[in-house]
Amino acid sequence: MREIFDLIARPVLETILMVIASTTIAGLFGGSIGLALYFMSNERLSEHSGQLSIVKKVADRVINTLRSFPFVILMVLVLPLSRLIVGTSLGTVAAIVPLSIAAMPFVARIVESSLAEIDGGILDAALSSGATKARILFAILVPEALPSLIAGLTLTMINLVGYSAMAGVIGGGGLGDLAIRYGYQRFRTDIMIASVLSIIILVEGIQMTGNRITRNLKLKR
Amino acid sequence: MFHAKRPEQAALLNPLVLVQTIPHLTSPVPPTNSPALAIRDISKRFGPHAVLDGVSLSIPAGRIYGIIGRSGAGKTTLIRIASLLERADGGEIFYSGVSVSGAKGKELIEARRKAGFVFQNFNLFSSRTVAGNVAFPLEAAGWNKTAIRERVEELVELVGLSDKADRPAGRLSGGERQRVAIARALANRPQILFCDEATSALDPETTRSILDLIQSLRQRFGLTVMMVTHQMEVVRRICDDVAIISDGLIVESGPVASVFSRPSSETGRRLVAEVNHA
Repeated sequence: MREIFDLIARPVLETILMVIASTTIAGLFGGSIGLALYFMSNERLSEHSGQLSIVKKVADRVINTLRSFPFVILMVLVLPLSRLIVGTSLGTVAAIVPLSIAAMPFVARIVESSLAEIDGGILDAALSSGATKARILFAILVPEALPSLIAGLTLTMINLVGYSAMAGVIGGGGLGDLAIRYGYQRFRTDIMIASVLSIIILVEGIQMTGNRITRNLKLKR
Repeated sequence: MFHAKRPEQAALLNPLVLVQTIPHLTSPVPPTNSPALAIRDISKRFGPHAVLDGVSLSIPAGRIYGIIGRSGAGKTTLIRIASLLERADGGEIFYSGVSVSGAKGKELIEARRKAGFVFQNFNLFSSRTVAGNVAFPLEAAGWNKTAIRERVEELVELVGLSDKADRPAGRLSGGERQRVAIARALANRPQILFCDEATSALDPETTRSILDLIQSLRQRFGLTVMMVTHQMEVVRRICDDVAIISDGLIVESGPVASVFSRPSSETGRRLVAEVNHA
């Protein structure tokens, strides 16, 4: 029992690190892309939404292409990029690069669709109040969309737990790596079960936290 | 001596005169006789269909002006263009004699602060409380926190919701929501209040109380109101003047009493006939 715990502690931390780091990076970049797409295509916020519709269409295609890429392939494809950014293509830190890239288009979609759900009338009210677009975004749109953004972020993190298990293939460490090396290759069923249980607990934990935050936000409305 | 006092007294009694005689309450640039809102030759098309086909009207300060017509007549497009929420394809909008329809960026934001908008569906920010909704235009105009708190308190009291200031905006009845929306629209002390079907989602009794509120606000602040509606009762109850719009054109306009007693257009005759039968 002690041995299992010693073996599993580090991979758990590695998985958590991968998920949190890549969610943050994907949130920053993917979120900005989602925002840009929303602002570009919204006729109330963009004077040129008509002309920009081509840009939007191209961006939509790119996002869909990236999203349909199998993660295992994407991971191998961005190996050179990992080497360029973090200096190595091996290990947990290197795995954050493909994980972030895989989550970016997903986050972009979530941000864009959460904002697009907001009723146009709310935007009209904010605009007629005489507010700048930046203020409308941060003081009205983000708070209005927050429950849906949190729900989307929860989904992203859960997907990333799954993806991070695959990152074991490039020596990324984490629970998936442990399950393969000990559970599968060394026939240690107990460690296999422990790894899978840990992943289940992580996923449940993320889902429950997300649900609770969303529910609390909705209760205040 | 007695004679000299008279005009002053008259001015104090009549809020309309008050607004016109105190210079800092009106826009500094234009001559005093320019209307609060002027719409000149506005046209708008969606695809091949002309929604507005050269609409002009002007509303003197302190008047409540009704725009009435059937659904699809172009009323909502007209009020959205007049309130700078949408751009026209042609024509010009003036607030107190100043052209605002070409405003962009900062100028557009400044111009929008001169007008308040009340919507049919209230459009309150559900992530904010009653006070938070009313505070938003003030935050946007860069007021400091203390000033915002005082002004919000004043506005919430004005619409009779002092006891509900800290409630989430979503937990109010329809009439209360519209009161919050009116307080929010008035936060920046606009000269013009635009109401787009502001009472259409409300029951008759609540409708009356909202109309009475708008009426009293006009009396107190000399507010100019442009009111789009499909309800004849609304026009009859509070409007001074009315324009009847049909197929993107104003087919007739004038003081409510004369339009209602002798409608000259076909649409006008039908609208009036409906009310008299009801």
